[in-house]
Amino acid sequence: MANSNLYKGSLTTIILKLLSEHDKMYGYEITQKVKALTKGELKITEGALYPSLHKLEAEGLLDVEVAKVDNRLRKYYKLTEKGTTETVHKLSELEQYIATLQSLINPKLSY
Amino acid sequence: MALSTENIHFIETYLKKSGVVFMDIRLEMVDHVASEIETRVNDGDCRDFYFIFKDYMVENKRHLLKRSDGYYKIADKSNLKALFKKATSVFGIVSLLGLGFLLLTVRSYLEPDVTHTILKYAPMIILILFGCIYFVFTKIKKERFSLLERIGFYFAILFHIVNMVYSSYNSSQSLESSPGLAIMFFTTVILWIFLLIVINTFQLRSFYFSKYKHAL
Repeated sequence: MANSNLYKGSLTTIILKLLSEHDKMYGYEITQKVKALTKGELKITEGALYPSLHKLEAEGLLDVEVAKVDNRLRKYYKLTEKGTTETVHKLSELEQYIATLQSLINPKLSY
Repeated sequence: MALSTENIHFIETYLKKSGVVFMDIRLEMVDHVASEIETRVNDGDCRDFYFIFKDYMVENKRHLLKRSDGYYKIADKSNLKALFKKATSVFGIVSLLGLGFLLLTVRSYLEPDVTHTILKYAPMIILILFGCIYFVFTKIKKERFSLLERIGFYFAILFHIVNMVYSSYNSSQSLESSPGLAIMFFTTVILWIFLLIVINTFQLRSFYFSKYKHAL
């Protein structure tokens, strides 16, 4: 796996982006989705994922729903209206960041 | 393959004994661990549940318990934000003015020594009120919830401020005249913050009741 520190600042944006593409998701599902999309390159640990989810929930960007699934309770997260707006903003910020990095690292490929 | 009720209960008890005391945090961790064990079984791990669980914990216990500690900061910040929002709302401003008016009216009707006696015992009265609210209303059916229990942090801060201010006030005041406007203003603000915390406590209770009704 690549240096996970490089992804740290983008974790909330990754979570918001995934939730914007799904109606609702639970923690483990998010880790598995990220693992599959990055072909195992990025593995989000529980210690990083859940505090981020709770922070987003506290900021009013996510809403929670608890349901009983397979003998246990499962906490689903979904975007609030504020969260949907914030996702667009965060994605735009991240794209700008990637473009800036690109122009620094590989000026020939920059756009 | 889904884990049995006994397996889920085993994971939950293990996490509870490892210090994950808040139900809202624990249920999510139980689901995470159970989901991972189920994935391993579905991927071909034929060993007994306990061996897979043990391996998972050896690899991930540090990460799992780390998040439990970090949540205090998020919970405190979230509670503070909710209190601030209430304080700056129309209700917040009207209740502050109403309390101030009420206390000034009471002060003008009571004899100075009676008012001084009330202020003398104010820290004890407020501590008893805090205790009642904290121990009776911050648990739901013996289960502890993170945001609800962390309200106690603000009760503790408030109590220390109350204790400090009233102690120094009581040791320096003459009993002949009515309490000054400064202490009356302080009392109003303290009662107002207390009111906001109590309202927040009940709102959180109702939030947890509605969101976690399956678990209670």
